[in-house]
Amino acid sequence: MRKEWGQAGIVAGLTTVLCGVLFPSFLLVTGQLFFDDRAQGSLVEREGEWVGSMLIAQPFTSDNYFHGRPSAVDQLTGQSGGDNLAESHPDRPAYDSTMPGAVETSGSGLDPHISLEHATAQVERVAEARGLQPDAVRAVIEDVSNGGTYVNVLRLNLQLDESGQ
Amino acid sequence: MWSTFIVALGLLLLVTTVTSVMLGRYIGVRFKPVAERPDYFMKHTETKWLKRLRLDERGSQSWVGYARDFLILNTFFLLFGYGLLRFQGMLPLNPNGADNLEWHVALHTIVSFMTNTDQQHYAGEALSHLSQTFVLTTVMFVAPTMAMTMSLAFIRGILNKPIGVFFADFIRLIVHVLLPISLFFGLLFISLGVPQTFSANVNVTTLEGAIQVIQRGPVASFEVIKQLGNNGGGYFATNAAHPFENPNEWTNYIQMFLMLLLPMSMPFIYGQISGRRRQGFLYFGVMLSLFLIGTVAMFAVLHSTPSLHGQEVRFGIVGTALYSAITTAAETGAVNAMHDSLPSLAGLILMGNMMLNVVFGGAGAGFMNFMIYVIITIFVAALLIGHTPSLLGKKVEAREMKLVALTLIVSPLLILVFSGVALFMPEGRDAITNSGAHGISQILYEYTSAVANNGSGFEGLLDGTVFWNITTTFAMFFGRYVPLLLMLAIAGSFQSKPMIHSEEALRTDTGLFAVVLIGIILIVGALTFLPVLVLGPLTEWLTLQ
Repeated sequence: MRKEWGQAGIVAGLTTVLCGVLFPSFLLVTGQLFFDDRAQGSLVEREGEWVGSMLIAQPFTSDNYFHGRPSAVDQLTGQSGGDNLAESHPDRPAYDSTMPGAVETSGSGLDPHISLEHATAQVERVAEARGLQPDAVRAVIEDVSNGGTYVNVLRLNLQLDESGQ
Repeated sequence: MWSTFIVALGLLLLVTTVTSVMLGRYIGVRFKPVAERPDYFMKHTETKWLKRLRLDERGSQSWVGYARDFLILNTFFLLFGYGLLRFQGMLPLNPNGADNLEWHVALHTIVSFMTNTDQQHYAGEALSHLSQTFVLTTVMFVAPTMAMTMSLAFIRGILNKPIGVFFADFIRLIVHVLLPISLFFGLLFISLGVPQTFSANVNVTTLEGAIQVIQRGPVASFEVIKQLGNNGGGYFATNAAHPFENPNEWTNYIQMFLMLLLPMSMPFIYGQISGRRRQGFLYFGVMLSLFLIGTVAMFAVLHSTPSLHGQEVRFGIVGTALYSAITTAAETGAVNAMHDSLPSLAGLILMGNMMLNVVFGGAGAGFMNFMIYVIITIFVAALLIGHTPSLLGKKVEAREMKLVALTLIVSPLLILVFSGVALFMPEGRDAITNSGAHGISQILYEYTSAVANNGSGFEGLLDGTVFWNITTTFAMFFGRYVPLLLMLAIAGSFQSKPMIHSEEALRTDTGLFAVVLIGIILIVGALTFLPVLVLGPLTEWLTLQ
């Protein structure tokens, strides 16, 4: 049995070095060489300050910003989580087919996107708060969604801030 | 919507099938018994290195020796992983100050990852970078490789070839197969937005002026082997629903491709090693038919009860339906939506996939489970036509059938007994967060996922307690090791028998055999669990009507 334990030690050591050290390190180095912004978490910089990650939802509550989807977690802590309410759970909100995703919590609690319908439903509020024409706000949505069926909330709000200046 | 689904499913299956045929051939050639192995790139360097590491492949082991080395290496990694997780707080690479794991959490976690289950009763964010890479990333390479070595030995055994040398198979699988694929797709993941950094979490000032923590780490290296190796544990608590693990539709489809790749290539590996290509394609076809039933049903359910509850906007219904069907079919356990919040009938399909455990199944393990059903089908069919049942020229006799029956009974026994115990004990019932029939589903799903080594969950279940950690640890441990060892014993038993030199009475590469096989899998596999599925998801569905 001594021989087998020795072999197991060699194989385990080799595997750990290859898979647990060299593999992640190689990805670390090549990732940062070629795709540094993405490797660091797709952080967004504005006026020399990090204002968020393009992939992680941040809470928006004021009228002049588009709001994201409901979340089961405190997005400021960065922890992810869903509410895990079953289809038969009494607290589960009814589905609103005119605004997919607007009343249901997301899976991660950090969903950075909303559906176009959900965004369009907020146009009037945002336009009024910003003193803009609704069509101008719609144009921003169209620009940011780029033909897709959903839109990134942070990107949308950054674009609004920029066009307002 | 149906047309989008059909196009997406069709393209995904086309790409994965073509790739897995090629990969099956690639692996098959390299993992033939030494004497039959043709020349390939770097073969001589490899032989030299294996000798230098004292892993000579020329003398093949018996199945008992192979199983012993398998157990030794498993013990090695279990102890090593437990120690490092238990004391991660005092070890380096811990910029976010993660604490030591409690004993039952550390035990559950290491058994969970070593058994290729990757059920997680801690939040992903509770581990240090050292634990995530040095321990868990390593173990996520180790666990699928273990099952694949066993399946290679199994295939060689029933084909009457030398079983092979465990340690050599193990390290060669990692170097030839898992590492190169992981390196390529890991880099691809980073380019698509999955982070890979050892830096600490960063605080940002949101547009409304609040401070938000952005949690990050070496996610890409974790993500790629988690999918390729059918591991499925999340770097973050919400797994592949988290935008850093699965940022867009592209990563979503690549992850599904990776989950299916190794399980799908198993029948082709069999075809290559045995030289019976047609048989390999037939086995593949049978698994694919079962897969299509579940996957189409899954989409039909999500399509007819639309809701984005617990789902992410970027994947849409098509991306969510495909992903959840595939993760349970291939026993990966990664989730891109909270399964607890999916429609009740979706839960039924997902549990069905895991209970059958042969709809491709996990890399290696799924194919061996499938061969168990093949043996049963041969046995039943041969008796029906009045012939002596035989597998590849060896008689199927009482000894093998006893082992087969024993293998089959392990998973229903563990799932049903543990679910019963949990429903009986307050420690079990208190974990339920969705009352009524769905509560039964929550418990049933947890043990099904544990025993099938899947690892996904109805995550509402409050399973972070000593009771749940210990019971699921047992469920995962026995659900993994007992069938694997029994199946290798079956191969060993066949190998030790003389060939019967008569014409095979029953052809196993015909359409008729495939139909009977599907029937047997559905009858034996599904009927066992029908009563409990009626109590859980079906009752929930009925009460909602």
